[in-house]
Parts: sequence; C-alpha cells; structure tokens
Amino acid sequence: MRDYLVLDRLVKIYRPRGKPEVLAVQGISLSVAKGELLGLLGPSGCGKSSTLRMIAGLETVTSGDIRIAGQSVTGLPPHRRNVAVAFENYALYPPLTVEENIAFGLRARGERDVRRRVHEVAERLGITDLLPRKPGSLSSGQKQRVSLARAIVREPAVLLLDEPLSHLDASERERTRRELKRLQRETGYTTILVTHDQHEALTLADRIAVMNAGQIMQLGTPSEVYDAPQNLFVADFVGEPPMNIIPATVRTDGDAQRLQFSDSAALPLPEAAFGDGVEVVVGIRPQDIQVVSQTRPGTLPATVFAFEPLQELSRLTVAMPGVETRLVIQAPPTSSYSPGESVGLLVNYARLHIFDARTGERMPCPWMDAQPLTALSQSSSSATGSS
Amino acid sequence: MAQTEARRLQSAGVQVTTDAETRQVTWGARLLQWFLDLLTLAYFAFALFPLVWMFLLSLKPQSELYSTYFRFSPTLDGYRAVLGIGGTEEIPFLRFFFNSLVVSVGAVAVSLLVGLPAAYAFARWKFRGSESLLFTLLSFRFAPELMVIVPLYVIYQRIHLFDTRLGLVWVYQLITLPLIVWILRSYFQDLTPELEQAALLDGYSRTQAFIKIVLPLVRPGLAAAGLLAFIFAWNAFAFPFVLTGSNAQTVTVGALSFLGGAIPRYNLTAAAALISLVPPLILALFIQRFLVRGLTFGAVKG
Repeated sequence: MRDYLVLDRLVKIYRPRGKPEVLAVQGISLSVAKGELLGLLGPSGCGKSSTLRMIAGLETVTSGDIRIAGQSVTGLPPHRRNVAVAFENYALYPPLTVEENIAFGLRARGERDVRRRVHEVAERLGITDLLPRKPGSLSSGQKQRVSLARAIVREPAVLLLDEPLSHLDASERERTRRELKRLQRETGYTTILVTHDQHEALTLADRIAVMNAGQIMQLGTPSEVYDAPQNLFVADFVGEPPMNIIPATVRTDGDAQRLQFSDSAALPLPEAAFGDGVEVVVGIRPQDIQVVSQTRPGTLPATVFAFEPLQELSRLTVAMPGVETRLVIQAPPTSSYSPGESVGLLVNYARLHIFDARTGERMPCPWMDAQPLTALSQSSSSATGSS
Repeated sequence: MAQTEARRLQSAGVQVTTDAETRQVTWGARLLQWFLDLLTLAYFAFALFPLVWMFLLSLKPQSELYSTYFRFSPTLDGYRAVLGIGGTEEIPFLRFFFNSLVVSVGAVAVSLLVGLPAAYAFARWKFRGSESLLFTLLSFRFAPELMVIVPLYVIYQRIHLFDTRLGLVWVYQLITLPLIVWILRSYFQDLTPELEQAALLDGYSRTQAFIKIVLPLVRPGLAAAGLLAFIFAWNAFAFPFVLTGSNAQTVTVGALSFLGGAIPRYNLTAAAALISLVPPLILALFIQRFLVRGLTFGAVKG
C-alpha cells in the first residue's frame, strides 16, 4: 500500500489567550507507505512534534485530515487509532515492573495471551532479563527499549517514535540506533520518526521530511536530501559539519562565467548557466573541497585560519581574500597546515550547490549530470557514506 | 567522600596525592563532621528547651509555679484538672479537643476534595485567569488573618455560622486550601504528561488515567500536603479565637483560657498544650514513611 498513512493539508494553530496565535503546522501533506520509516527532521519548534501528536490524537487538528489505511482517524480518540508512541521521556510507570509496564496497554484493552506476547516482544528486544525489574533501576538505553517494547506489543498500525535516541549517551545511541533499524526492518511497522538529529534521520529513515516553521522544506530519500538540498534551509540544516554557505554574484566574461565572492576571490564555472549579475548563495560541503598547492592552476587562493587535527579527519578553516565567511574544509588525517599558510582550493563542481539569494531555492546547474571537471572521486563517494 | 573522589580521579588517570596526604584530608573531613554534629546538637537543645520547660511546668503544683529551680514536687494534678478527672471540670477541655479534631480533619478533607482536582488542573492546563486564581489562593496565606477577621465576625453572626464547627471548617479553607493546591500542583508538574498520554493511547479515559496513573504517583505529595494542612489547621488561633464562643472553641483557644481567671494557671495551660500536641505528633509519625518515600521519589522518575 503506497498511501498507508496520509496527512492531508494538516494545519495546527495554537491560540493562547492574550497572545498572538502560533501557526505550528502550516498545511503539510505527506503519504507514507506501509512498512516505510519516515523521518520528520527539523529544529525545535518546527512543528514536527505537533504533527506527531496530531497523528497520535494527543492534539486536536485545526484543519486537514489524517488517514490510516484509507480511514480518516482525525476525529477519533487516541486509543481507537491503533497508533503507538514511544515517548521521548519513555513514560514508564515507576511503581510497576518492566513486565507490567509492557503489559499495561494490553491489560487496559482486556486482551488475551498477555504474558506470552509480552515475553515474545521482550525476547525480540533482548530485554527478557529486565522483565522483573523496576524502571528506576534501568539505564536510559534499557528504558528506551522497554518503552519501544510497550509501543510495539500492541502491534499498532502506525508506530510513532518521538526523539527516541536523544537522551542516550553516545555508545548507547549507536547501539540502539542499529537495533531500531534492524527491528523496523524485521517487523515492518509503518513508522514515523521525529528527530532534530539529522544523523539519526539520515541513517534510519527511508525518506526524510525536513521541516521548518511548520512547513515541509524537502521530502526525499536521505541521499536526495543530502546530495541535492532543494533550498538553503535544508542545505544548512542537513550535514555535519554544516555546509559552507557563501554569498556570491554571477559575472559573465565572454563565454566564461564565474562566481565572484569578493573583488579578489572568484570561482570559474564550467558552463555559463545563469544571468549576469544574479545574486546567488553558494553551498559547498567541507568534504567537497580539496586543498592543494596554490601554484596549481585553476585553484582558489586562500589563507589558513585554523587547523584542527581530529583523529579520523582534520578540519581546516580558511579565509578567501575579501570574503568574510570562512570556509571549513575536511582534510585527510595525515595533512598538516599552520595558520597563515597560503593554500589553493579545488572545488568539486558536481557537488556545488547554488541557490537563488532572493528565494533561497536551489538553482539547477547544467553540468551536474556531466563528468565533474575537477573530480574528487574520493570525497564524492564518501559523502553519503560518512553520514 | 575524599577517598572516593581520589579513587575516581585515579581511575581517570590523574596523578593522585600520597596515602599520608589522603589521610590528612580524611581527618579534615572528620573534624568538619564533628563540628557539624556539635552544631546540630546545640540547635537540638535550643529547639527542645521550650518543650522541656513546658513539660516541667505542667508537672508543677500551683504553689511552685514561679520557682525557677528544677527541684519541685511533681504532680499530675494539672493533667487531672485539664481532663476533668476526679473533680469538677472548670473548662470543657475534652470538648475543645474534640472540636479541634473535627474541624481540622474536616478542613483538610474539604481542601483535599477541592484542591486535588484544582491542583491537577492548574498544573496541566493554562486557562483564563488560571494565574490570577493561583495568586489569589496564595494571597490568602500572606494576607494577615486579622485584616479580614472583623468583617468575617460580622458576616458569621449574620448568617449564623458564628460558633459552629461548620463555620470553622469553612474559614479554615483560607489556611489549608492554598497549601494543598500549591504543594500538589508542583508534584503534578514534576510528572511528565507523557505518562498520562501513554495511558490515553493504551485505552484509558482521562479520569481513569488520573486515578490509576497520576494519583498513586503523587501519594507522597498528598501525604505531605495533608499533614502540613492539618498542622496549620490544628494550630490556628486567630480564627477560632474570634469566630467561636463556648460551643465550637478549639484547643488553641481553650488552653489559653486557663490563664483568664483570677489566678493565671500556667501549669494547666502547659498540660493542655502538651495534650494538644499529641494528634499532630501521631499523624506525623504515621505519615512519615510516605514523606521519606516522597524524598526519594525523584530517583524513580524516567
């Protein structure tokens, strides 16, 4: 089923008394296929949590419709939607044991076979030995797994995960993320994952809806979102370290065209593609710039501002003459630079993103499909892999 | 403390002091502990002295009341007189005692009945005037009782609530309701709403979620607020002093009336005060285990 969960022009407006109303969700539409994991990614306050809470029925819908398996659930109370939520703070009930917590929902519905089903789910999540314990004695990762078990034991039509990994420490996060991925693949639950962590969304989701200010900025697979951000917001929000974003003006010189960053810094374009004098914003990821000797032709001159030798990679910050925005570059771990050093930059044109400065929308570049001029095969293949 | 800290640092690969130095630190910590213990003891004596004095006073015969020696011939006559055992009862203290019990329990019960849902609503929803309502409740506590007592006296006379237990229960709401609402509200706020939302998704109604999920979790708060409210109601003086006559008078006012005769009978007042100490004490001991659990409650939260 292609349209298992459908959000149809969903709007949420909060009207606090005596304060201006808040347009939390401004008419978003999406459809999620059965068994798909859709990530709702955005900064806090972007409306992703409101969306999740509306799907769960914990928040009223101002306008629009929510359909699950073709049936509108917009007016139904939470328990009649067959939706389960794994809450950010786990929402485990302290006085009950883990087993009782997982069984809670089943008991409330007066279902049969509670014990067997609880044990099955516990086994699948590897928490059988935790069953007699109280939530208070568990680690965050264990609590998260119990919370997940409680959500899926009811075999919901739609599983909602609210920031599932945000309270875990780094090592538990890695582990839980892998388990979450495996579990979702195995069980095939239609899942909505709400997160502000782009890493989480990129690794877990089949498709990602990047949200900002109550709207979907881009909907696509993780590589679409990462490799071809549709607007400046997505370009800036997705990727770690964030994309370098520098304003520039298009200058035409006969047949050749270049991006003029400042009076003394310009990047020649492989093809003339834009109108002369157009104001643009150039986006380039730190791993799509190569640092070479300045003597090499066709390089952008720059001066090293800072060099951070991190273990797996080195991070280089450089300044281009006359350009205020500094560029962050990922360099190989073996490299070494000192501040003040003059370097040349080679840009991977295939991974150069150009946006309209006025609208913030992506501008199509004709050379994108062609072979990149200064190919950095190593960085373009590792770009998605490193996420 | 110092030792575990040192061990923690050591395991983290930090150069740690030698054994001798560690021992010195431990000695310092121990000295500090002794000093603190001493301070606690001093405060203990300071706080308990009035009680001890009162106790001695209650055992003194009338003739030795004004001697400041600790040597006197102890007698239980004071208690007998207060409780009206073997002799004529000058002041119906037992009735006052009973009045106090009824009025205090009644006031706390009414406050819990009203305050529990109110506190929950205040904690969970913002509604028109919720802030001002909360503040109004609090203002009952910081506005002096004497400010409102004269008009209240006139009103109570007129609507025939003067010198009735019901009237006291009502006016005691000024004391107990704000306490209960404010304490319980903070307990409710500490509970994540996700707990109830999870219950809603599981198929419970709002009321069921409140009774089955929320209420058991705020039991320590309920005990603490109830106990505090009871103590405040029990010790109330100004309201019963002005708003009761001989019928609905409470122990606080009653104990004082032993001083009202031709000869002030401090021994009887002391005995009466000590007797009136018993119910809050018993209640506190009984509720204590809930209070201790209330302190550790935070550890259980997700």
